[in-house]
Amino acid sequence: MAEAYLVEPDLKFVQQLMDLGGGSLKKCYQCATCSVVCNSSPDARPFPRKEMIWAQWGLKDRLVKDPDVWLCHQCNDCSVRCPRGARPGDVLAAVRNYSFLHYAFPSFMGKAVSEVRYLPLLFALPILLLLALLSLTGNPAALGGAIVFEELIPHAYLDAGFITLGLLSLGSIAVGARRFWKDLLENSASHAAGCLGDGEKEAPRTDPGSEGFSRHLLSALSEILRHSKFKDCEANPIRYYAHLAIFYGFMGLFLTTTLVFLGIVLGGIRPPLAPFSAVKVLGNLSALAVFGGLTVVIYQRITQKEQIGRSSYYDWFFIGSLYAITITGILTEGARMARMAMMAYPLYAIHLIFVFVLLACLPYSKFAHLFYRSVAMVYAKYSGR
Amino acid sequence: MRILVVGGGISGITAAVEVAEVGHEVTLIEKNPYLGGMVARMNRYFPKLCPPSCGLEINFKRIQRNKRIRVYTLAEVERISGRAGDLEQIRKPSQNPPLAEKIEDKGGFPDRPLDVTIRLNPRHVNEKCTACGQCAEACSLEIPNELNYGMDKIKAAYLPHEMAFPMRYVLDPRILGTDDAHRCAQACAYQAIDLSMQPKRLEIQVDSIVWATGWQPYDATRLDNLGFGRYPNVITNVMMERLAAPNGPTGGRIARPSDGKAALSVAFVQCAGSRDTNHLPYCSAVCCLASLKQTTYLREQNPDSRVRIFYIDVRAPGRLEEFYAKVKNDEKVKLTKGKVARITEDPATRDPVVEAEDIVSGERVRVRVDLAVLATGMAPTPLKSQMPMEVRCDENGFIASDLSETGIYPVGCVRRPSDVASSVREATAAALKAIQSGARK
Repeated sequence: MAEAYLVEPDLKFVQQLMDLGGGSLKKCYQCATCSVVCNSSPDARPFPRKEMIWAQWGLKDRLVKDPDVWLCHQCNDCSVRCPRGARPGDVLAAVRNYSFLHYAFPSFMGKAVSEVRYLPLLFALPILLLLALLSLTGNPAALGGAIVFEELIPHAYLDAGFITLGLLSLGSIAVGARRFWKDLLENSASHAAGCLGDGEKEAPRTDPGSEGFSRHLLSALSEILRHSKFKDCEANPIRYYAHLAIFYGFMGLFLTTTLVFLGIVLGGIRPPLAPFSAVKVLGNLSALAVFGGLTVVIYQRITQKEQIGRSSYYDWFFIGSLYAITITGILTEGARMARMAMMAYPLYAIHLIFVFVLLACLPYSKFAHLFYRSVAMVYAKYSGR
Repeated sequence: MRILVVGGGISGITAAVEVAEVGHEVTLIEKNPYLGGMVARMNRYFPKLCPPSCGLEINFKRIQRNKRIRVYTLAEVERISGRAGDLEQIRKPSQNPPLAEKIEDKGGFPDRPLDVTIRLNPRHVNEKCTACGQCAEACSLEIPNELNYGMDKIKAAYLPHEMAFPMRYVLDPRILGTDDAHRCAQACAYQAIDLSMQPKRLEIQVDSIVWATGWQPYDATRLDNLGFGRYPNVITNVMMERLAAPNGPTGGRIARPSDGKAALSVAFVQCAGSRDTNHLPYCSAVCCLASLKQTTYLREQNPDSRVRIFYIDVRAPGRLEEFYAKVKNDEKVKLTKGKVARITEDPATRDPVVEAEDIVSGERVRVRVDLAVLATGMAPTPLKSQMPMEVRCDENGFIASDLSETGIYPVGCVRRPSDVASSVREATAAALKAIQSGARK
């Protein structure tokens, strides 16, 4: 033994992890089957066996500062093979959920997204805002003729609102991601060797600087864009395609929205666009991709709990709000084309509310995995993991 | 008083001998053509690491000397019933009572004997056999040798092994109707071969029954990540016993099945299918010591051999701890904490590559070895429908019912995974209980 290490278990943290989806963590008996069957895990200090004992011992610091928690892509090969039903995949997902809470800025928002009882509050704000807007911009009952959403709420208001919200969210996730990055660097210097499975001390890492960071970021991004890690999964190969569809569908929708916004601001376009314009086709295809991917993901989560992993509130919040946005978006467009004004306007309003909630909760919900996982992957590239 | 013992392994033999030596009549039946069960297939066994002939031969002698024991090999229980429905009345328990609850005693022990129907499968060799082996000489048909888990072949007219009891050849059913069968019959100078032998039924009445049907090795082909059945140099611990046994397929030389090369580096994979909710959820109790014992086979056979044991926990209770310490102190033996969760094969050399996380160093290791031995566990022999009453098994398939009211006493590995010493102790206890149960009538 290299040196004495005093374990100070944080029992409250253990309970929190169990509540966040890691309810099976105490079943682990440290056989390390998981670390062997994991195809994402490196040979040096593999995961998730060591994370399991940290979780059992309540070593919060180690877990939130551990890049490996995010190198896990939740394919659940480990959970399927686990001889004890300790479900390491679910436990790592719980640690990630905890990280959303831990790195949340401002922290009350993290709390608000962590529990279902705050859900009405999250929706109350956009509903009130929408009602206020509607009372400002006129009388919805007077709407008639062709369905033009501009007439319900002018795009200028929406653009201003959502851009502000988006910037706030981006700023917030930037704070969280930066804290995480600092923790990763700091943590690399402080690992103690011994029975906790840290192995030899890792060489301390200093900040690679922005140039070094960008280099590793590019490498990580290429991995993310290719979705190569998802291909390693044995327990659930379909998920690769589902996540790919959601990811690129979402990017497509983001691009569509940006293009339409630029069109309105710079080109003076007045939506709706023609049904077969390039941008419209991109938007529609993207929406279908997200819808299809999410449908597969939801179906699997409901019917194959053992292979996919147990779903926590974080999973359902993110998947649910994204699904709601997609469905209301598709239905809104359908109702507009079918000239069903009584359907189109309310659906549009609901769609906007869900968009608001997803965007506002981006830094604290599972949506943020996009950022935290990317940071961890950059760190992994940098540290040679 | 007459007592039936079902199963001629170490537990059954012990119970039968104990009952008979007290002075009661015993019928001992065994489904294989020889007595000795799994112990007969060991190279050496605990606690004293004797060869099986050691303990078994004393017991066979006790059987031979005792006129009160009748032995039937190739025999199986077809049916047990009580008279006038009293068995059924006492022992049809309520619907799925919880395990802890005893079957309600509705009037105590059956006061009438149990009727048992036994099926005697034909051996096609009668008691005139002198085990001269002329039939096997004459026979050309070969069959996989089940005693050696199919690692070699034997003639279809065979002696199960050289210390088999009864010391008599057997004709495998597959030989019937072939020219080989007639050649065997002609080769026998003692008219010991009877090709017309038919299955027989034996009806007996007994006062109580000792049920000692034992265990079977867990089916290692179900451990799909460990490559058993795909890679020839991945074997199980019971196969290792046969490889090391002087009467085994290699004459005791521990060699790789793929090329017959001596196995110089060997990895033991502990808990292969045991303590695993996907397979056997319980600890099989004997595999740790079995692997430590097999390590000594290798180390004694070749001073250059190296052994690596991958384990979750080494369970060496009581005095066996000393044996564990002795093996561990051998510098050519390395114990690694971490379960092997994947075995691959180098296709060129057919060397198995075992993969585990060494938990102490926190590194994932891949070790190429000559031979990988899966320490597979003990699965209970499935209970067939011979029992007249419902017998509750625990969630793992071991008998959980208290059957004392029925006059049936399960013993040994049909109740829980156990080693020879505790099975023998339990068998002696069961013998007494069976006698008492008969004496109450």
